[in-house]
Amino acid sequence: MKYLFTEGHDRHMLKYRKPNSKILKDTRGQSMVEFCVAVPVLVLLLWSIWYVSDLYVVKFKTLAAARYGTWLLSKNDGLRPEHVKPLIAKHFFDNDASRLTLTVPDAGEEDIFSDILDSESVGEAFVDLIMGVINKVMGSKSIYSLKVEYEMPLIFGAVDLTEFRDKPFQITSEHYVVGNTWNGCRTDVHDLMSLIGELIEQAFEELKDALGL
Amino acid sequence: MAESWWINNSESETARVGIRNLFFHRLNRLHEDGGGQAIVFVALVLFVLICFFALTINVGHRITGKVEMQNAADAAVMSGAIWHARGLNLISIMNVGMTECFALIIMFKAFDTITKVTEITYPINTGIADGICASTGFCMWSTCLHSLSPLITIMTNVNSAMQDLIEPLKKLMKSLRAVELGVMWAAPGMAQYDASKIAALNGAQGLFDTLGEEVENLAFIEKIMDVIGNVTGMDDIYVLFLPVMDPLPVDKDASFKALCKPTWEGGSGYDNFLCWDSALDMKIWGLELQWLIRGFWALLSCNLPPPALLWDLTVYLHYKSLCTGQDQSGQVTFSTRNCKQCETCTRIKQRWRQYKVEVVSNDCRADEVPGGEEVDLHAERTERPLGQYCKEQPCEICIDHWREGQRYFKKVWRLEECICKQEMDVPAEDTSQYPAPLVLKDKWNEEVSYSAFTFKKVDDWLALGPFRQGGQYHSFQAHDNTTVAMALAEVYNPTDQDLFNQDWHAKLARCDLERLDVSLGGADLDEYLPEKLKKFLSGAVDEVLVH
Repeated sequence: MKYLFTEGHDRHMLKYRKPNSKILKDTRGQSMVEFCVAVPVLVLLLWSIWYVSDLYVVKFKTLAAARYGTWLLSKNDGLRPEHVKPLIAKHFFDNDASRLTLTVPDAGEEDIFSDILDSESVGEAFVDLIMGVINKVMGSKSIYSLKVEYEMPLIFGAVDLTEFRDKPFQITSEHYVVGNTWNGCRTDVHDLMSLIGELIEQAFEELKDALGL
Repeated sequence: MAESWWINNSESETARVGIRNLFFHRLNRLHEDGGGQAIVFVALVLFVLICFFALTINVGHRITGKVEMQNAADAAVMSGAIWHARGLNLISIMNVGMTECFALIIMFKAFDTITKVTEITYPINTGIADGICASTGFCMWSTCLHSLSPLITIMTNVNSAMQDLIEPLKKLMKSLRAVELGVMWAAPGMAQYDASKIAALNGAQGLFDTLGEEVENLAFIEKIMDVIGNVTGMDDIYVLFLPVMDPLPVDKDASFKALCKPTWEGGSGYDNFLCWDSALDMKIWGLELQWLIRGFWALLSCNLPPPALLWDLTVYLHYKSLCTGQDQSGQVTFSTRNCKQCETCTRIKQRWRQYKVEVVSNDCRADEVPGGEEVDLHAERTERPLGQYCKEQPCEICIDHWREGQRYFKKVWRLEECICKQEMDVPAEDTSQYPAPLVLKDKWNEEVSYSAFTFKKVDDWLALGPFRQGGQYHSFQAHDNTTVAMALAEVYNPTDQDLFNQDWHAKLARCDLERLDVSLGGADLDEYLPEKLKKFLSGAVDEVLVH
């Protein structure tokens, strides 16, 4: 405590401590340093906003692509997802099909009347007959579906974060629609007549089996 | 006390000044001290950026929900409308099936008439031919007729089998009509079922879950949901599909006679009822049987009158008899279908000199016919002297048919002398036995639209939007956090707008509240529509994405 009250000491101490204190107390450039520390965080946040908006853009693209692809599938029974893929890549993803995966999700049931047709009781033979006609005329497959998956690369602005996460983000959209197709189901009358004949024969055979004849 | 107060006061004043100085001194130091100001700045910017980050996610989330609901609404309304189109297509094919059955019945009846005529004329012709053979030595006709004897037997047997088929055909017509009526009600049920299912698959949430209290307050919707639930067996409804369970827009009370009535008598006639064409062309069995029957007639052509000449008229008379329910009679004095028959008759005329050729079919050229003139049957009909068409002898039959049968005789006619006169009488038919096909209602217009509303809850990731009101949080959306989408679809037929063309389709249409058809089971519910529901729907329309 003594030297605090001694001028000489005090001066000496001040002289001795002054350079250190100056560095600590000099606030010039401090903001810049702090700002430099904060900037990467802010930039990362800004990039992440950008990235999230990109994610939504891709989400909308997959939504539109799923809808477009499903409708294509529903128009033609012969089409498969692999046929639709180049079209979707061309129209929505700048011809880049490498990140794209198309699958057909299960719509619950393919045959709308399957529950009824699976019935085995004798009394429902007539229902089978009518439903058979309706299925044949209207087309038994009702619901068409498509799932579009897009692998979103983990690149924030200029920073590639792929190393930090094995899997890229999977942006997925599904769409389901009832087939708006009548081509192929358009039945001539003599086809219908022969069909009814066949179905009556079938129903008759089933009846015979059911009755044990 | 006062001094001490003064002293004390002075001391305290000094202390106060000291504290004040110290305060300002420190304040000044704080003010001058730049340390930590960047932290504050960064914290503020960070907060704003985080808010923007949340905003990006919230907006993206909400728009994604909106787009998903729009897709769900589009898919739901299309699936519903497609079921309506399918129903109309199914009814169309059943209608065509019914008219084909009807055509077969007409054909069988005409075959019966011709068989009877042939059975009567065959022994007479054979007697005449045998007499000619014995007296003149010209035995070709007699030989031809005798060689036909097994054919006549076959004809009789085939005719008997055909007559046995008429009753089953009538039953088939009735069962097709019954199926049509079933489709009339089943298709809207399937439309509701599939629309709801598709909406659920595409991410829509149940109406009760989404709207909650609002649905409870809307007794009307609850009622609708109950009806749909009972019919389709679904617990929750994922889409509000309008109209609700309306039967297909068909007229099941159209009378058989009205359908058959020719267009020139004010009926819908042949445009709707195809049996006449079908019976004539025998489309149902394809070309093979057609040529078989025509070949059969050709073989019988030496029995006068040749059945090939009787055929068209007989079919026509039976058709008219079935349509009008009145006796019909006519003369076989023409051939419209092929020139060879005329040539046959011309040869007979040259041989016997007692037949006159008046009518030649469309294949004959005008320059082959002495005095022949082209008559365009598609042109506007005007009253002209008969002699203008039939130079030497007026041919009433052909003129009558020209007047009546625009559709039947599509081609250009050229007239010559009449040939092979034969009276034909067809008794009246009881038309009440025949079921009429379903036709479109009169008030059917081109745009029949179906609409769908889908719902989904979309919560904010960071709840910046909601504000507190009356103790509850509300967002800026009209229905809390419920996203609504609406879509309209039309059912149309590009080929021909009737129930004989299986070409019904559905397409998305522009959304318009005015076009909403709110009806249940065919009953118009616009009058009973609660104001609250109207407000809700109009709010939904204001808010939804439309295409």
